[in-house]
Amino acid sequence: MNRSPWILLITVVLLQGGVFNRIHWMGLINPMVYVMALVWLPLGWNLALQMLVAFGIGWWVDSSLQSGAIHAMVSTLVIYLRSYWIRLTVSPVTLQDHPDPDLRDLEFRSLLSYAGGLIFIHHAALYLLESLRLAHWGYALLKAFASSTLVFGLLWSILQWTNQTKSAR
Amino acid sequence: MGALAIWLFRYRFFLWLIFLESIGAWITFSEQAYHRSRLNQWQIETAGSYQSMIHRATRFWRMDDENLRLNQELALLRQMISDSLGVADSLQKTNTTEPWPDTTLRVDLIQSARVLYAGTNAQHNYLLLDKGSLDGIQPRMAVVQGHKIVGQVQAVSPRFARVIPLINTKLRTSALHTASQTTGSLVWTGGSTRYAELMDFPIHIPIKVGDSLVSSTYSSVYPPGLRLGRIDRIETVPGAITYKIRVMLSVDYHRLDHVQVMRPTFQKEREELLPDQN
Repeated sequence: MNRSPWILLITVVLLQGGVFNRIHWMGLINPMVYVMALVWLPLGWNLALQMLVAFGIGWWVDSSLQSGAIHAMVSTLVIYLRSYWIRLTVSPVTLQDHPDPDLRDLEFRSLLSYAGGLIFIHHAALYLLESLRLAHWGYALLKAFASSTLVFGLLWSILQWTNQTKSAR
Repeated sequence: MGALAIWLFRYRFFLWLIFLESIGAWITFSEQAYHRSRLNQWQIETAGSYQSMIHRATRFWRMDDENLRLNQELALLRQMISDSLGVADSLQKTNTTEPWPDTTLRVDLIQSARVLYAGTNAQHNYLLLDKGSLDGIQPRMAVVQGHKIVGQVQAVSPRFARVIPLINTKLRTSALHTASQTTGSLVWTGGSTRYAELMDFPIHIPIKVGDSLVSSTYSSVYPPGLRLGRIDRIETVPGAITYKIRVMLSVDYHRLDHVQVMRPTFQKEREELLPDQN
């Protein structure tokens, strides 16, 4: 895939620090939009470099939230799992033609299971690590589900919008 | 060597993940007080569960010793009941309405606990009890065995408590020499768990081997009058203004099984008046 993730990466990281970190709707929705940049990172890059970039992004968010390095840990884990996760969620035919598929070209079902799954894994791991109590796993998963639904909705809207812009050209 | 290189190359991304996650965990646990405290609690819980398991497995083999110890404890309790009835009786005889002559002698909570682990071979030894905050145990409570001081509670989790015993080089306990009513500091300097040292005891005070040491009123953790040990050896150092005194501790930490946890009644009120030592 011939795409540069840097614009999206910088935009969402800045938005995360400036806007989304302040959102805590009903104590349930605290969207981590920077995970979109992680999902968007090209799979063609060396995995070690991807993990390092993910760690850096997470740490940037951690420094604005004063949360140690839990975002860095979770982001690195998500990037590591991504290379295996895509094989489970995207059809082998698509992967054979496009080993690094553009999210805009994926059908909704694959997009939901691939990107939506990764976003949920990220949020769930993050909230579990944040509370560090097994007794709170139910609430952590509920919170992860609510927040990741919002982030996936946002990602899907961006992909729709970029598709429309591309076809208008 | 070649196989190792192949293995490392094969799992290089996983090893890289472990490395980055370790850095992240190190940063998180060193920066975040909440995560550090959760880790600490988890350590206590894990150690407690493990020692509890070991204890259950070995308990059967120690029944004879246990029966003997329970009998001794029963005798001691009978003696204590008898002593306290004597005090109540004497109060009645003097027609006084005072509940107890010395408020520092009263204790709030006496909770019996089992010792799951007793470390004796390190400089910073600790004990682990099978009771925790759910049973009312809190840090800075006194841990005793009958009339003998064992140590004080350092940290608690819901079901377990960590105790600093007298045989921990970090602990310094105020000790009263009963014969002269003079205080010194009892410190364990390492080595044998049967002996500690009495420091800062002035050389002009008469003292002899066999004299007993008890907790003093200076301590807000221990009720006064509890046994610490007996003087075992006295040395004078030329030019020094204090003795070098070896004390035989009352508690045998190698045979510690059941203890009681207590708190002087007005401990909180008393400690609030003390300057902040943090």
